[in-house]
Order: sequence, then structure tokens, then C-alpha cells
Amino acid sequence: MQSFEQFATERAATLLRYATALTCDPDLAQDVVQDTLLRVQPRWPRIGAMDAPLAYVKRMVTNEYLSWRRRKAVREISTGHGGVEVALADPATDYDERDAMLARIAVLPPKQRATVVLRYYDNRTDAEIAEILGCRSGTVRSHLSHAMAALRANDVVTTVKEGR
Amino acid sequence: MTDKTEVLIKETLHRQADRAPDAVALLMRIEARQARSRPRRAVLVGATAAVAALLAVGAVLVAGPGGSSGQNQSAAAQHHSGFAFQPHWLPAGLVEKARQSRGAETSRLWTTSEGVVTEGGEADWQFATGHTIRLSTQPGSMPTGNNHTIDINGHPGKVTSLATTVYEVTWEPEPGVILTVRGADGQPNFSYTPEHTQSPAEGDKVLADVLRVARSVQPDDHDARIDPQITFGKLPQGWTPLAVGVSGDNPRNSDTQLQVRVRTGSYDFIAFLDWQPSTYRPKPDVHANDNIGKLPDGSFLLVGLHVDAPGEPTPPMKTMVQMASQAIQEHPQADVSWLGTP
Repeated sequence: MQSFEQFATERAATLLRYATALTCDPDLAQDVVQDTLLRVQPRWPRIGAMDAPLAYVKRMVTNEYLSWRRRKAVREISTGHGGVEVALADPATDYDERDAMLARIAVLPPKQRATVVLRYYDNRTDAEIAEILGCRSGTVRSHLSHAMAALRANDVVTTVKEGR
Repeated sequence: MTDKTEVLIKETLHRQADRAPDAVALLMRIEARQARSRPRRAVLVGATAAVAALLAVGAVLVAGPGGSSGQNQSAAAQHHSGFAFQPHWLPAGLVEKARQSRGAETSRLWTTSEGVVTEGGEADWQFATGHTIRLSTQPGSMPTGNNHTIDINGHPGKVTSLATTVYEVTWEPEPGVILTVRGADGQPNFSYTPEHTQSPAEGDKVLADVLRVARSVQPDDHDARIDPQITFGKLPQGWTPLAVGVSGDNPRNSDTQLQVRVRTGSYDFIAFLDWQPSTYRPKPDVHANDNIGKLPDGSFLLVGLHVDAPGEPTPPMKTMVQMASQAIQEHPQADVSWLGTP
């Protein structure tokens, strides 16, 4: 069995990539992975002996994100002189449709977002996602259905406008 | 079948993953954190226990049958145990859909009549679709600094943008009490439309609404409360009440959820106790699971577990349902008449 230090060194990048997709915030991802690994270490004799410790730790990262409190991926804005600095994308610039998709993913409720990331980033099945999130497969399908409806909103609006 | 949206989601998530921070920096942070925490371990354990005890007391104050906000409590304590602050202005058409209490923290949520409250994470499980206003109260003080640039009735406040059309304003109306108003106006689940991302108009309107709601907030003499149909009764050993929430479109379809922390040996997890009235009709696949129980009065109790370290031993779900059924009791002064009202 490899040591915790070996595991952390080899897998930190993988966990950070997953957490960054999950949280939509690199700083928050770092905090989530850090806290998770700090909790993994004292349990390592048991976790390290598992068939797939990486999968287990990914589940811990997911749950850590879902229970995350207070620290939110926010950007503070300043107010003054009656105006508000709103950091909007300038339509004149190269506005990538993936930026728009990321914006939609970033504001999904946490469990819906986790479901989307587990399905489309981590390629998990309904049953696997249900096990990770501690819910029924039907709930996973419900989360995914609601999330996809929100994520397709852009397509719907575009279609309506083109049909006018 | 993979369609264009699914391909776009995959590309987006993988590109986002490419933005991950440096792993070496993370490993150095962990090493430094471990070095710092070793000599302070005993202190941290004590502090954690104190916080847990404080939360437990707060939750009991909020959820106890008949209310526990006695005459002897200080004004601040009453604020924490109820919904002592009330907005006196809301955007037209919004109705109250949810109330939540977690220890000394409370929140109320208003959305449009067609808005749906959905389950989120452990802490803020109540999200909503569409045009939404949420007023949250928590103990604490505004951090010192010069970034409090908005005035809320004479108190310095801070505006935060969580997304183009999602804003929060936070201020301290009285010492030790932090209020937050969050507003959102978007497609389902706060998502964007191209119009939102390309025009500041929608965001400006949300911000204006949020500020107007915040400036209308006053102490509430009537002290609105959260009095769900069920509440905590005699809890088994190792169970600590964490939170209570009620949501729904109207009083006839209210959904009550209690959260408890369950400690088993050296490990603890969170259990969600979701009560449904006798009119509830579980889906067929729910019947196949062990996580639902039918109570003597015909109502239902669904139990879910939040285990932050999967694989840790937890009691069988049938046992959990049985224990949960005995841990709750009917609230003699239940009142969910506020659901669906402005």
C-alpha cells in the first residue's frame, strides 16, 4: 500500500482538476481539496487499503463541496457615486459560448451541479452518482433533468428569437 | 445519445478543470497547515465542542414546541430564535415559499408563485427558481475594512455579486446581528440567458430591488416564527438537532425537513428527516427503499444521510427510520399559513 504522502503527491493534480470543475472556482477548489486531504490522512490506513482510494477520496471531495459553508465563489463589487461596477462580458469581445455555459453551470444548486460534473466530467453512471451523493437513482435523474433544463435555456431562447 | 449541449458541457468542464491551481502549492499548504495544527489540536477540539453545543441550544430554541423565546430572553436572543426582522417592501408578485433555521441563523425566501424551492447543499438547502428574494439573519459582526460602501438605513453595508443577476447586500443593523438580502432574477436555478449576460439592465434591476428590500427591513414586533407540523422530540443519545426548514407553495403542500447530527462512536454524520403529510404519494421506486416510514397518523417520514466520508459505518436505513420516527413529534402550535402569502 502506498503512503499517504505518495498518494497526495500523485493524485493532488487530479483532485484539483475535479474540484475546480465542481466548484467553478480554483481558489475554492484548493480549499476543498486541502480540507479533504487533511481529513483523509488520519484515516489513510483504511482508505489506502481500499481497491480504489482515489474514487473514495473523490467522493469525499464531492461531499466536502456539498457541505461547504460560508465561503462562496463571489467577487465583491464596489459601489459609489450612485453607480455600480458590474463586471459584465462585453459583447464586442470574443464571448465564448463555453463561458456562457460555465456561467450557467456555476449557478446551479449544488447537488444539481455535482450531478452534472459527475456525469459529464467524471463519466459516472446514475447508480454511481446516486451512491456518491447518497440518494436514489431517481433523484439523480431528477437533478440531471432540472439541471439540463437550465443549461439548455440558452438554446431555447436562441430558438425563439430565430423563429420570430 | 450525446447532443450539442452535452458536448458543450463536457468541453466547458474540462476547460474549467484546466484552470486548476498548482498541486505543489496545495501540498505545501497542507504541510504548513499540519505543522501549525499539531500543537493546537486540543484547543481546536474544545472549540468545536463549544460551537456544537451553541448550535444545539440555538436549534432547540427555534424548534421547540410552543416556542421557547421566553420573556426573559434578550432582544438579540429573540432575534436569533425567530424571524425578528421583516422586509416591508418586496417586488410585486413574490410570495413566501420557505423558512429555514439553523441554530442562531435563519432565512426566509420569497419567489414568484410559479417558483419552485429545490434542494441544495447541506447548509443552504433551500434554493428557488425564478425571481427570488432571501432574507438571512446570523450572529456576527461585519469585518472591519473600508469596503463597506453602501448605506442601509445609517449602517454601512457591503454589496456582493454572485452572478450577473444574483446580488447580496449584507449589513449589521444592530451589534452582533448580520442581515443579508439576496436577490436573483433569472431562468430556472439562477441561470443566465444571453440577454442577461450582454446587458446590465437586468442586473441593475435586481440590485435596485435588493437594496430597496434591505432598506425596508425593520425589527418585527410580531416575531414571525418557523412552526412546522413536526419538531424534535426526545432525541436518541448521540443525536444533536441542527436545523429545521419548511417549504411549499401553500399550507396544503408544505414540506418539513429536520436535520440532525448523529454521532456513532468516533464518527458522525448528518441525517435529513423529511416529513410528508398523509396526502403524500411516494413514487414506486421510493417504496422499494428502506428510507421511508409510514407514521401512525398516516404521514410519511423520509430519511436521508449526508456522510462526508463514504463507507464509514452508519446504522441500517430501517433502523434510522425507526429511530427518526421516535425522535420527532407533532408540533402543537404548528403554523404554516404563511406559505404562499406575500
